[in-house]
Amino acid sequence: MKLNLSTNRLVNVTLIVVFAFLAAEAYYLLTNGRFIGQKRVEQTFTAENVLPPIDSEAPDNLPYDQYQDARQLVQIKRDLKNGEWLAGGGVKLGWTMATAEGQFCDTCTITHTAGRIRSSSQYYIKLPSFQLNPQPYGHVGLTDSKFHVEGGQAYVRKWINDKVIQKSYGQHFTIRQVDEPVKFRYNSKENCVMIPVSSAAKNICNIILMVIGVLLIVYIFYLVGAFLKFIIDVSTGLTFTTQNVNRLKLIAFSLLSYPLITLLLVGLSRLIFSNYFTDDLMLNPAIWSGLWPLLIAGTVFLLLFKAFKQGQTLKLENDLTV
Amino acid sequence: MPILVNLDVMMARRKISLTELSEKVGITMANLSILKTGKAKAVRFETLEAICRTLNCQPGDILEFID
Repeated sequence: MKLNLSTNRLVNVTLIVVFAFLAAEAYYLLTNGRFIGQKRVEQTFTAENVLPPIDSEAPDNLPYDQYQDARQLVQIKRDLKNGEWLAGGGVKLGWTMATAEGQFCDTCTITHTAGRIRSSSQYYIKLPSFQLNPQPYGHVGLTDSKFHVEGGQAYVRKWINDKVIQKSYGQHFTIRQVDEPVKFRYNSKENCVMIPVSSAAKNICNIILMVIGVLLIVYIFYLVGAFLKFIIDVSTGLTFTTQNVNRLKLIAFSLLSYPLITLLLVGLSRLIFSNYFTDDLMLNPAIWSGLWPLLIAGTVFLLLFKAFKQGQTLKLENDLTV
Repeated sequence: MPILVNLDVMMARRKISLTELSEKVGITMANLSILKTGKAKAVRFETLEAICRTLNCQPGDILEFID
């Protein structure tokens, strides 16, 4: 199917997108009560059933160096239990997918250094576009959701709201802390979800991601080459040529399709691993900051393409005027 | 295009070559060839005037509308 995008329609679509963005921004500001002077509802909390800390804390009466070592050992033990220790050695493809390998040891007792630990390898498919949902009680000093593994079972420690009582001053919440079992694993340092897989599955994913990555790099070089040729042609006076119009069209549609394909693949990975997903996970908001510039650049190139196409038509008419 | 250019007919009637016409009218051979083969998108009045003067004919003798 050929997409016929006339200049008028393109301008209309651009204007609609800009107005939709401004309307969304205005709605966000208004609903946050910054402009309309909305009275903030006061909220109080009673935290029941607060669970003991996941890991034992390093005693703070130790000298500084020993305290740092003790903290590091606690962190290493936690990383080993979570299967995050030395997590690496994988392939990453933007926001869509990545692979990783980590050392897993649930019963390790560390005496000196982590080098002596006998652990087994755990393989993962990482989904960098998904992260743990932050808890809505951070503003009153309650911690966010935390991922941890105990006895080979993964848990998300979070606050659950049991009841809300309407008071004269606002609302009173009674919340409690629970360890909810989950199927996924989580990389706390990179804030991304990890799906445990077999070694063979990880290797297959590695090959697929590597092939796609290499093809993508070649394609990016081709696009850069096309852009450089466009600049050279324009500087030598060959402005409104068919090649230049085709180059701009290719660059525009590539820039526009990259964010769309990325979001499509993210949605697809969400569907494929839907068994692992719970309400504790959400789309990482940082994904938008990486994709917005490409969308804007794509729109600019699309407008350039339309302008150059019109210029080419005018040039052709001029050339064929006797 | 429904506008037919009969320049070649008029040139044959006046027994004038493309090179000679090009020199007398003052436009390039390439442009005259574009006009003769019907590839032209537009004709300037001054070009038409020069051709008509050289070939001693009316614009209607060179351009014809076919439905």
